Parts: sequence; C-alpha cells; structure tokens
Amino acid sequence: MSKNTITIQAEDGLHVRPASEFVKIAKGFESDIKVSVDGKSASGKSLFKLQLLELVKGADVVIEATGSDEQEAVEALSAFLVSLK
Amino acid sequence: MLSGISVSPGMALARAFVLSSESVKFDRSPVATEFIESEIDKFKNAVAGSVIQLTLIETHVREKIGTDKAAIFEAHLMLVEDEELSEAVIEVIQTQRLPAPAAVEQVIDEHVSAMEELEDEYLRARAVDMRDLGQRLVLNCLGIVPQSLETFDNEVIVVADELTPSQTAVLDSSKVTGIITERGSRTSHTAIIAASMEIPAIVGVEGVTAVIKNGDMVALDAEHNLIIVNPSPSQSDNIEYSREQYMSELRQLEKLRDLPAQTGDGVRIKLVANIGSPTESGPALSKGAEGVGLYRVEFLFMETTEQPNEEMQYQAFKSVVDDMKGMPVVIRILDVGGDKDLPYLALPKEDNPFLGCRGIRLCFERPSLLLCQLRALLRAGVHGDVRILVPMISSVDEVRRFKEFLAEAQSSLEHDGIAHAKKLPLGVMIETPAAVFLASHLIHETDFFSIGTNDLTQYTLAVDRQNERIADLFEQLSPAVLLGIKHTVDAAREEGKPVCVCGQMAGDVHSALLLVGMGVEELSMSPVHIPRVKNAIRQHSRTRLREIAGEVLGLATAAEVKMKLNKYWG
Repeated sequence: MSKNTITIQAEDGLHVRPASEFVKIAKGFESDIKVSVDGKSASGKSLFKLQLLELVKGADVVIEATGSDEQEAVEALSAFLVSLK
Repeated sequence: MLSGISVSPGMALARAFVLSSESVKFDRSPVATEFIESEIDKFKNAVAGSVIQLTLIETHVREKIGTDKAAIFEAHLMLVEDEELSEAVIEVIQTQRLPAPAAVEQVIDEHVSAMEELEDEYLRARAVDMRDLGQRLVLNCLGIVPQSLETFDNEVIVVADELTPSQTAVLDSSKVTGIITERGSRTSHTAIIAASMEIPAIVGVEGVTAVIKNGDMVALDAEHNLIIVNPSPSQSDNIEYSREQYMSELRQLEKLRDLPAQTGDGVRIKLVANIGSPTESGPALSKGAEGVGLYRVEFLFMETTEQPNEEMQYQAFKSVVDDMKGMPVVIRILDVGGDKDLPYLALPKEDNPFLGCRGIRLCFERPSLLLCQLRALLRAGVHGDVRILVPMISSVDEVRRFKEFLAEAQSSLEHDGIAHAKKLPLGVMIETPAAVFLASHLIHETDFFSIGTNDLTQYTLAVDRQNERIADLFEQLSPAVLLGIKHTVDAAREEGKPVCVCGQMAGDVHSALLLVGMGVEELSMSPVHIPRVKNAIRQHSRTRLREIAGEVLGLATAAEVKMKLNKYWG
C-alpha cells in the first residue's frame, strides 16, 4: 500500500472541475484508491462518493492506493492536488 | 395583458417555449420479484440515455457558451456513469423491490440530504446538480426525454414555473431573448441570472404557464412590466421599435462602464450597489458598481428554515467582501418585523407592525440573534472594508446600546481567539422622522448615514406602503421627504462624514440628479440602474444641479416638484 497526505491550498477547495479531474486521473490507474478527510473516506474513483467529503481549503487529504501501480497513483494524485491554486 | 415583477430590463418579441412544470407522477409501490431484472434494465437504459443527452449538451455548451459552463455537464456525465451510484440504485431495486424511478429518487434524496449537511457552502450548493441529475435519470427511467434549454434553432422566450440553476447556467443568450416565470421574486435565482446575462425577464407572473401556450407569439416589455400574448401587428411593431431604441441606448451606456460617475464640473459621485445575496456581486461589478452600499441580509435569513449560524453568515459576508476586492461593503443588520416575518423567530402578531418591534428593536429583544450577526460581521471585517449599518434607529440611546453589543461581540471573539476586525465603521439608517430631527446628534456618535427613502417616505408621510387605499399618498418626491433628506445631508456634511442614499430614489434618474444637487455624494441602487444614473450625472454640472435643487426645495407640493424636474430634465 502507498499513502500520502496533502493539505488543500486551492481557495475554493476541490470544486466541480478539479474534483472531476481528480477522478479522471484516479480512473487511469488499476489500483484501488481511497481518499480520506477528517475520518470520512471514499473511493477516489467515484465523484458521487467524493462529493460527501469536506474537501475545502486547509483540509488534510489522505490518499491511499493498493495495487500494481499504487506508487504512481499516489504520486500523480498528490501532484495534482498540490498544483491546484 | 399580464404583468409581474420586472427583474431584468429590455424587450423581446418571440415565440414562447413553455417548460412544463407538472412534476411527473409514477408508482412507487414494490414490484413482483420476477420484474426486478426488468427494472434494473430500465435503470441501465436510463443511464445510457442520460449519457447520450448529456454528451450532446456538453459538446454544445463547450462550443457555444464556453468550457466554464460545460464543466457542470462534464461532472453530470461523470456522475451518471459512476459505479457507486449505479450499485446503490441496483441494490435498492433488488432489496426493496422498488421500481427503477423510485429507487433512483430514494438514492438521490439520501445523497442530497448528506450533501446538505456539509459545512462548506460551496460544496453544499452542488446538491443542486445532484438533484438536476436525479430528475434526468427519473424521467429517463419513465421513457421521457427531459426538455433541454441549450439548443434552440430560433429565438424564443422561455416561459416556466421557475428555472433551476443548471437550466439557467446553459441558457443560450443568443437564442433566449426573454424569460417569464410564474414563481420567483426580485432576489430569486432566475432574477439574478437573467439580470447578469442581460436577458429581459419578468418573474412572479401568476398563472402564466397556463395562459401562454407553446409556440404563442409573446411580446415581453420588461421596461414597462408588460407581457402581451399574441400581439396585434401594431403592438409587435411598437415592441420592435422600442427594442431597437433600448439596444442602442445600452450600447451607448456600455461605453461608460469604466468611466467615473463625475459631474461636468468634476465632482466625483460614488455609485454603489444594493444586493440581497452573494451571487449578486458579479452582476453589480459588471455594471460598474464601486462597492456595495446596502447588503440586505434578510434573504440569507429567509432562505433557511432555522436561524443561519455564525459560520453561514460569515461565509456569505466574506464571499461578498472577497468579490469586492477592497471596495467598501455596507452590511445592514437584520431588518425584520414590519412586513417581513421569519417563521422560526415566532414573532407575536402586532396591531401596528411598522410601528412595532422591527429592525434594531427586534435585535435588542433577541440578544443572541444580534450577537451572532455581529461576530460574523467582525470576522468578515478581516478580509476587506466592511461597514455596519443599523436599521430603524429612532434615538441616540439605541446607537449607544448597539455599541455595547458590538463591544461584547468583540470581547467574546477576543476570548475565543478568533481573528476579527478591531474596529468597523458604524452607520445608521435614516428612515424615521426622529432620526432626521436627531441627525446632528446621531452623526456625532457614528461614522456615516444611509438614507432609506422608502421607509423615510412611509414614516414621514404616515402612509402605510402596503395599504392600497392610500397608495397615491405614498410620494417620495413630497417636499416633506425632500426637506428631511436635506436636513440629514447637511448634518452629516457639517461633521465631514459621508451620507449615502439607498432606496428607490437613488436609482431613478431625476431623483438621483436632485439628490446630487442636495449634496449627496453616494448613491446605492439596484445594479441595473447604475449605467443610466451614471450617464445622467456625467451630463450635468453640480453647480447647476445645486441651483435646481435650491429651487425645488422651495416648492410646496410633490406635483410641483415633478413638474419642475420634468421641465429641466424631460
């Protein structure tokens, strides 16, 4: 399992467009991806479930991936979150 | 002829596109076990159908309107294909034997409720998208293709019960030339969007969806609040002519947007906006507003079923302050009572509500209501130029008492270690004759005045605004009102403190010029009036306006005042 924590810096949090982008990237990987905030977690490949997380500015987001490409998945998703302004 | 509340000016003449408002009815009772599979198939087909519709809409919106708006539909597409959503619906069909549309409805309702519990206002607002999408899936389950507002071949006037945010987000403004809705108010979503897209609109037209049929020719005149169904050839010609006139006036006014509202002899007048919700900041800025002169918080308190908490208020205030980027934002303390009720406050019935417990009187009666607002205001003050405005002041004691509350809110934030502004400018509304008489004392205790001409007229003339039998006595240009305004303006200017006029008078060209002549240097109005008022100000010198105001203030009746103003300014 590969894991990383990122603090969201984007002013508007993970709003519609970046959230869809995040899911798109996650779906590109074979690994199972879990996203957690404040003890609540959801599949990183489901926008439906991610909508229920408090993905706002300042939130600490834990990204966990399990599978053949777990390391690349965590790296790519972390880089995406960090790039959001 | 029909009329309602004109919320976005302009004219249109086109065929009606009537959005059916009846909610679809379907059976929610469980199905026999052998039909479970076919219900699951219905759901899968509904998903497939929705994907096709959304793909078409998304492409159209991206090409015709822009990638920004298309993002909403990209998200809808991703959601409709979401496996977690499908699994949830299929599970409900299997375990509860619900028919497909009922299962979709249940899953979406639960999801929307969960989203509405999120703390972040923006994330919470996305529940609207989920509801839209749910509606699309339900219709598709029933074999109905949802009506779409993105693709029109010809110009139309959209007639609907009320438009959803996603419907208005994709309105093609090159084809939709007018909007008429049955529900809605000056501050409703449709009103705000229509004004910002500059689509002429009249809302709150009772029975309109029953009167206008799909394909009817409709003449919409939002300048005069008039709707004519199947107009005669001469009525059509008239509308066409006025529309051309109006469009050319708009093009002229558009050029003024970034120019200052300055009189011919160089006096700078500040034009600011009256708003009722954070979504109105954008339209205000696009009309050239130099800040918010009156943020009415009542709307924020009315759209919820319980009192909005400190965080919700803070977020709403902050959002406006952020949008205004350092320009002033005057936020008025909750002004309910009188004609405005809030069910959750359980206000007792009064015989004379306008002379009763309204505005600041009510806030004093409910200290926690006031303290919560003050904490939110002080916190928002960290992010920009926030100013506090107190409504319904009729004595100096009230101002002093208010300051005690403000100090208490400050020390409680201090105690909690929460970031907040140390001092915010404090102003009072001048809307009672008592406040006019006390103006020189009041200005001594405060930083600015804001004259609310609607209530000042009502209280000065002792004319109930709601009473139709005496509607003709409600006269803002009555010399009694004008002298009250003049007295107030002079008192503020003597102390070198600013005075703003909000209310209907500020947005009316003749009255606005008169106010400038009386020494007012700040006018707050509905954003849509800003360009016209600015244009008028730029064409006059203050010296001349002052002379005219001097003449007007010597007149004895409202009729004489109007005649004089018409003589000078036509």
